Amino acid sequence: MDRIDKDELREAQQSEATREVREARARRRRYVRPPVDIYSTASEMVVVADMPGVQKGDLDITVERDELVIEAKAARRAAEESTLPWGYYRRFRLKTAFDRERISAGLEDGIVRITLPKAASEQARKVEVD
Amino acid sequence: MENESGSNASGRGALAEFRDAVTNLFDQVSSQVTSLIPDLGFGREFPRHELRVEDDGYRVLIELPGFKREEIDVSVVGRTLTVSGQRARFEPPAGGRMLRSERPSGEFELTVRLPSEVDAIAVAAQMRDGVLDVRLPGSKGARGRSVDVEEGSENEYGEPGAQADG
Repeated sequence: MDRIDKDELREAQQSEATREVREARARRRRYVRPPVDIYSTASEMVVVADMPGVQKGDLDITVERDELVIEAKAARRAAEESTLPWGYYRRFRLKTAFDRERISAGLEDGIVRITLPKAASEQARKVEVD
Repeated sequence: MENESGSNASGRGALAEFRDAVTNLFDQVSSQVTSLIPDLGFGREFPRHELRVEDDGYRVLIELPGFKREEIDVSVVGRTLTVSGQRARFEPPAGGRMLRSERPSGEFELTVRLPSEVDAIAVAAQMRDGVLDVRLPGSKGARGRSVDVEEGSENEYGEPGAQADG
């Protein structure tokens, strides 16, 4: 019972976490802005970010309205008082319509790769232009 | 995006404000907007690393995201740890168009001067989550020296517990 209560509490806290709370957390001194490569094709946009030290459970990617927010903590480092970054934070304003249901992300060897499929309307428009 | 000149303005408050301002900047995903971070390839700051002193020697953590083990060369000569390697520039797939290219690429060589000698044969390196973790156990000779220093200081400054000012 105790464990369930704790989990419920954590979920409630997460659902209540406003953007302000997330941003304040991310502004913590030990967070850095990860360098990115971004490319676009007719059907998708892909964001590749260097985020060494991050593990899967510590990655938080959100798309709200026209904003993509990438946030991750390198959990072990804070506990060890490391001089290396304790986390990463970056946000982008999206100028294209994406199919939010199909946005996906992967993490491998400290590299985050986010794939944002373009909305059908955008793809149609692109075909016309081409 | 660290900006050292920010601290010259009016102390820590201004620097903190500047940091917040930078953090709050929106990235505009558009081919028209050039990156705020110039593409310098591997600059002097790459790779970010940390030297830790541990009970049995040293540990050096080096951020090398995306590097494969075979792309990294680690060597220890005397008190110098050298790590070198290369990463290819990111290329988009056919038909893809780069909007940003900030991630460093090319060759790098990092040299870390260790505070004392290590047992070069016992050095071990492991890649985890894009971080190279190099463990360098101290050499037996180095450990012996540190014990000698402790004994010498007792003889020089008198009995343990004696007051230096007395």
